[in-house]
Amino acid sequence: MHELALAQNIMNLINEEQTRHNFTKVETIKLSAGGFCGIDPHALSFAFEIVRAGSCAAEAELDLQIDPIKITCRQCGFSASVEHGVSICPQCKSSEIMWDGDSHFDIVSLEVE
Amino acid sequence: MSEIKLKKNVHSRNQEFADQNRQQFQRAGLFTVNILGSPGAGKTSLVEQTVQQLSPLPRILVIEGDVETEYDADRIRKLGVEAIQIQTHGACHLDAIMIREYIGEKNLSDFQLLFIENVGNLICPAGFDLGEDTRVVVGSTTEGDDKPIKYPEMYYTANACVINKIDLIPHINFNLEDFKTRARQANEDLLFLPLSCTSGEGMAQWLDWLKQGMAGCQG
Repeated sequence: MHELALAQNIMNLINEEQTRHNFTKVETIKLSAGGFCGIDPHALSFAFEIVRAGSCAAEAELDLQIDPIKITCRQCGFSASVEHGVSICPQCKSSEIMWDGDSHFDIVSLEVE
Repeated sequence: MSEIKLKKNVHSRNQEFADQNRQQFQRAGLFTVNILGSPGAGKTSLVEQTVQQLSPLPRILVIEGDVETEYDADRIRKLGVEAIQIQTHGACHLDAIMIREYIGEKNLSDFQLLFIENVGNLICPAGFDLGEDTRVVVGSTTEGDDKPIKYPEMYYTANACVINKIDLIPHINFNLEDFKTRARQANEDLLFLPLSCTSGEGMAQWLDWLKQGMAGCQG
């Protein structure tokens, strides 16, 4: 449940921006994450519901985009972008596949009023 | 309505502290190893065996992370090694801020090797840099050879992978090559160190790897 710590970090960053830009309400929070970010979007939404109560982001929408993972098969060369990692090549059934992705997690932008 | 572009790492506060920790470790010439893995993989056993077998014995500091109890720190202290216990009281991982709290005032130049044993968990600790030099995931044969693909972020972010309890392989359904193949799917550069804390097999390679790391940190 590290999503609670992440939700708190997001709220802290929003509070910093509010001090700087003096907005009253956050409409949308755009987030970008790598395929290896290890974030469960449902757990993040749930945690964010808790930490945002009474804040300027109390009604904000979390727009989380998680990059696909690119898989490449060492045996047959098959390559594809997949939402979740797969352990066996869909084409030749080899387990000699490589996953390519990263674990970044950024707050990209805020839509505010 | 207007848009504020940020492009800011959600982990940025943790990262600030991790960078401070790393600078402090580097100034002290300390080799810092973040040890991760599921509960029962043998993380504490690995530290115990290491402090008993490393020769010549460096000055070692151990930070133990657990949800509750001082059990693990006590296991290390019994061996005459200084240990700090961090009890997270519910939190599923250590973060760089906790480490800062415990070592911020400490004179680390008294030590050459720092083990930080994270909370037993194959998911959450992976996202939190503590300021370590290297990250070791401890897997074990009894967990099964499918764990690397079930928990890819942990293996993706690790530099080395200890595979503990290899003495049990004849008795259980575990294929070492399948484990490695699956771990390489997430991280093709991962170094594997299969060993048994019980029988001692493979410990020599682990100890050599640690010595190389320590040698690289002493200016």
